[in-house]
Formats: sequence, structure tokens, C-alpha cells
Amino acid sequence: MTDEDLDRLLRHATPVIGADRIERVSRAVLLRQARLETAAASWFTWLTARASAAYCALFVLGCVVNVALHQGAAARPDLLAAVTLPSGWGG
Amino acid sequence: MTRVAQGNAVAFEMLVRRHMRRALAIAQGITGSGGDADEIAQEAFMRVWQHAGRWDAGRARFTTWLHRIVVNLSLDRRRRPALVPLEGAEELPEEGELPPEAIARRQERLAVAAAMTGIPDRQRAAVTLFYFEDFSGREAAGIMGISTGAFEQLLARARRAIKAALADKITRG
Repeated sequence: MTDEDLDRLLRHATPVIGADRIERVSRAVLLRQARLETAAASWFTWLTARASAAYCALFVLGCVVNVALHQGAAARPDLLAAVTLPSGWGG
Repeated sequence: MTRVAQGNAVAFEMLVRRHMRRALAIAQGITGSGGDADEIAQEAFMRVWQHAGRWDAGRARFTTWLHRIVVNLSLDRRRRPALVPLEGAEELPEEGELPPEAIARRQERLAVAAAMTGIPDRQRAAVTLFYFEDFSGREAAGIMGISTGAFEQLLARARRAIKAALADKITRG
């Protein structure tokens, strides 16, 4: 076998890849990519929902503490008077 | 590719459809298995999607980057013990449905495929890129991440081994 024969054989030995197979594998890739995006989007939604819930809980807690402090101050003005605030803090 | 890096799914679909045939052909040429080639091509494109931001246009062409991923995944797959025979990877109709020239070509392809099973993986990769996919020596060397001289040596060794295997097959009849 000459070098030219070998070159010719190798040049014609390219694997045959059918159009339907290209289409099938391409679709599989695009499906995986879409799933990946959906998973990322749902993770973001989950995180946003948790962050919103935490913010609401802190807001409500702040309101409760605020009301409690006001009620406490009204009930025991003597205690409030005993508290010495630094200058510029009001009171 | 810039649009793919920005998360553009339509641009990614165009990229996949444009480069899928060659990715499959390279993976199949190296692994010798259609099933492995399908998985490797899928994995390669998923890596492109996930790491598109890492691609640097100044360092390498997109095709060089993609084909390097395919070659590396194929070589990794070949390190696994199971090897599907190359004959099983052909996608052709039965010989009775083919004209004589097509049958002769198919037999030549199978003979080359059989000869390639006996050569080292990197030599298979060199033959696949240079002969099957028609890359220049410089392009193929870039994809494999070696110098042009090293690639030429690799290809010369592959040619010698394939020639010897084919001659042996002819001698045995």
C-alpha cells in the first residue's frame, strides 16, 4: 500500500452522521439547556420568596416592639424619666 | 458567541445546530461509539452554555475551543474500560440496499475503523481531526493543545500503525 493509497483511504473513512441524528442530539442539548434555565429560575423565585418573608417578619416584629415600648412608657413614666439619654437623642 | 455568553437561548440554538455534525463526527472518530459520541456532544455544548463567559476571543477561535472540549471529553471517555467496537457505530443501511461503490467504501471505512482500534487514543484524535474532519495540521494541533511539530509526529506514528494494521489484514485475507 502506497502513502497515497493510505491518504485516500483515511480521507474517505469519515464517520457517517445522519441528519436525523444531528437533529435528535441537538434537541436533547436544547432540552437540557431549557431545564437548566428553569431550575435556575425556580431557585431564584425560591430565594426571592424567602427574602420577602424574612423582610415581612422583621417589619412586623419592629412594629410590635415599637407599640410595646410606647405602651410601657405610658404605663410607667417614672421609668422613662429615670433613663438618661445622651444629648441630641431627644427626650 | 457573545450573545450566547449573555444568556441568549436563540443564539445558543443556532450555535448548536451549526456545529453539532462536526462535534458528533470528532467524538465518534475518537471513541468509535455512536452512543458515546452523542453523550459527549451533548456534554460539550452544555459546557459551552454554562461557561460561555470564560471564552476569550483573543486567545482562540470559538470552533477551536469547542472542538478542544469535544476531544478532551472523548479522550476521557476512552480511558474508561468499556469499548464499543467501531463496526457498531456505522449508520448505514444494509449492504443489499447499496450500490457496489458504496459497499466498497463502507468496507474500506470498516477496515480503517478496525485498524484504528489498535492505535493509542491521541493518535486516533490526530487522524480524526486531520483526515476525517479535514483540519489543517496547525488547526488540529491548536485543538489538541500541542505544537505543530508534535502533531505531525503523532500523525506520522498513527499513519505507520494504521498502514501496518491494514497490510496485516490484507495479508491475512
